[in-house]
Amino acid sequence: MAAPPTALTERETMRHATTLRLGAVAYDPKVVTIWDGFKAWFARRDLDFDYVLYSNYERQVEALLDGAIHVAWNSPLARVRAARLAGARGAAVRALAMRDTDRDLTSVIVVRADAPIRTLADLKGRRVAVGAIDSPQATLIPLDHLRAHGLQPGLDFEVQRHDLLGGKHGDHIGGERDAARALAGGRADAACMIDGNHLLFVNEGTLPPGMTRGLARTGRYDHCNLTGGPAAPADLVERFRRLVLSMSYDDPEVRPLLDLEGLKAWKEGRVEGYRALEAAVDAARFYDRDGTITCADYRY
Amino acid sequence: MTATAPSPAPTIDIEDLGLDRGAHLLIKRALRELPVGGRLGVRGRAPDLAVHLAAWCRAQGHRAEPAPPPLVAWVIRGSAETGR
Repeated sequence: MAAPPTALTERETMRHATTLRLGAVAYDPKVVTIWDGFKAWFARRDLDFDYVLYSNYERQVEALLDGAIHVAWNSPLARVRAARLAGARGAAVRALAMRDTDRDLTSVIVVRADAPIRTLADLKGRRVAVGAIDSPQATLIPLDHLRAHGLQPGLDFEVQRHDLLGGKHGDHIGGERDAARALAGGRADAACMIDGNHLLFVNEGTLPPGMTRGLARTGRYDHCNLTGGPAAPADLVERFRRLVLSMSYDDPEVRPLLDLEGLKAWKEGRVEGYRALEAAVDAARFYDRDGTITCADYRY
Repeated sequence: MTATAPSPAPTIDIEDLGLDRGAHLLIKRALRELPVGGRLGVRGRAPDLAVHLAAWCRAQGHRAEPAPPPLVAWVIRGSAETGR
């Protein structure tokens, strides 16, 4: 029989309070390498840091609001939900920092180069391939772009979803790649993806060069965000934020980690770039205004 | 004293070569001739060039800014390549 749980010692309690706990979603094995590396880097700068991995963003956001973690490395959709859940409790979350590569992204709606599709209106009655149900860049934002141009998903065109790894908010880009494959294979008439992934999918051979062309491009939006929780110790979080922003690509120790994480520099957090996603979430009824999950088909 | 006009920013014409077919190598080489913060005008007629250029610049730590025709964009050189 296991021994009954014992109370934390005073020293353990003190350590628990002074350790910055960050949550990250395990969408790829490299996540462990990245945060283990950052943990060692923080330790050399006297910041007691640890991280917790979650299998999905929904649990991570709930843990942030409950105080189990102080900071969440959030997808844009997770940032939207965190802000709504906090608002519903009369609290607020804080945008601490983001990667340079998280700013001013666009998504593109791509068709085959030889298709008789010249305008968005030509998509009426056709099949539009999107990524996972919870992908901001390959599903929510592009579908809202089509709505804004008078095309209702599921009514004016067929939405061909490529659900993969629900709850990871499209980070692994597998659903997005499957949407591109559907377009290349003739199973879809258009596909939605982030601008850089159109280039990636051509370069890696998923889309043959010259086979596709962009039909439309969404407005700019922002992607991931280091989000501070409402009850996190302010001094500890501020120290973490300053250290994050001080990371330099010139530092040979941190550079490989930045490369893995896909950035050259951390930037100040900002929230203006989430307006398009907020609107898309409302239009798709993905979350309600209080952050409750209202999308019936969502599994994670 | 005679004021001298600043020299025009250099430009590169990649014609119909897209970034999905290697044009980034030409742009990269042209950027190496510039100091950090220097501007390179890019012109070309490959499909989706503006979209791909913006995405490539973001990933490489450069900045793409709107430019008047016939340029597709100004590329502002970032510092990432100099820090090795």
